[in-house]
Amino acid sequence: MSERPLRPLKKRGAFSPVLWELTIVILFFALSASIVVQLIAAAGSISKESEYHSRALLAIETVAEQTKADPEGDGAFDERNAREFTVESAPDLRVDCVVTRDISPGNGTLYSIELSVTSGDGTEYTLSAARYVTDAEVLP
Amino acid sequence: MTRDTRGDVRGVFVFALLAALAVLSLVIVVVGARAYRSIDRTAETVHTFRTGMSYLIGKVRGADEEGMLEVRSSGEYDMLVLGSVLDDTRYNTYIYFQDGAICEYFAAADRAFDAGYGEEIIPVEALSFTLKDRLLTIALTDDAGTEHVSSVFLTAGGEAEP
Repeated sequence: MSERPLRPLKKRGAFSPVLWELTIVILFFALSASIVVQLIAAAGSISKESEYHSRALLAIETVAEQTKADPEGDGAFDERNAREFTVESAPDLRVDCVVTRDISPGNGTLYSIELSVTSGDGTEYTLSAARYVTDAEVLP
Repeated sequence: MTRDTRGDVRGVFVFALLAALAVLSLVIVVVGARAYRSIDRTAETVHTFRTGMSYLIGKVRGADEEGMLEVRSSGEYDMLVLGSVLDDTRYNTYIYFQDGAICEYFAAADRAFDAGYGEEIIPVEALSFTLKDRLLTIALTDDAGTEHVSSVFLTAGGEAEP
């Protein structure tokens, strides 16, 4: 009968293969989740921006049409023949308007209308319009 | 630390990792669903007022001729009547609100208006028209109850004779 020398027990690692696998899965999940959350946030931001853009466009067109209907407004033109006013269409939506009057064209007056809306993030939306009113035409 | 104790700790750790995975998955799904709902609602609102207004303004611009545009009340309907002449016959396009939608009815001018023949264009909560001097104002309320107002300055047309 031969005697085999006793060997110390093989020490197992602190992390088993299952734990390693789980850790890798969690890390991969965290990476994917961070990308997905960024995409969701970007989609939400683009959606809000698009909605604001649509509202701004509607407001700016409306003010342009109203100004074309009554370009003289309160008649408060300054020495440059320009008048400026602001229309608040919504708490977050203000339309700035500049109406410039040119009385030099023969038999009439040309009104140039410049409108702008500045969004919260600094994006500026602008629109130009004009109306020619003959001298024979009586403005309301 | 004995082997049993170490095994317990490992089991708890594995469970905690799995639980974290499940909870985070749930959070991602819930956040994603909320964001999707919000985006969808915004898109729906924008679609309603943008498409509705574009449709109405386009129609008004197309009929911007003298005597071809009228805001009329007929029974329970406040409607916009846009005229057009084809082969010496005058036709009217009636735009009005009925059963939660903008409706359009096209008929010869000598035929009586019948709301039942109208074609549904886009669903809205309310619609009204105001014509003062040469400024037509359209007020449209979307499904969320928000009112959107737009104006059109009629370059050629004023109000038609009723």
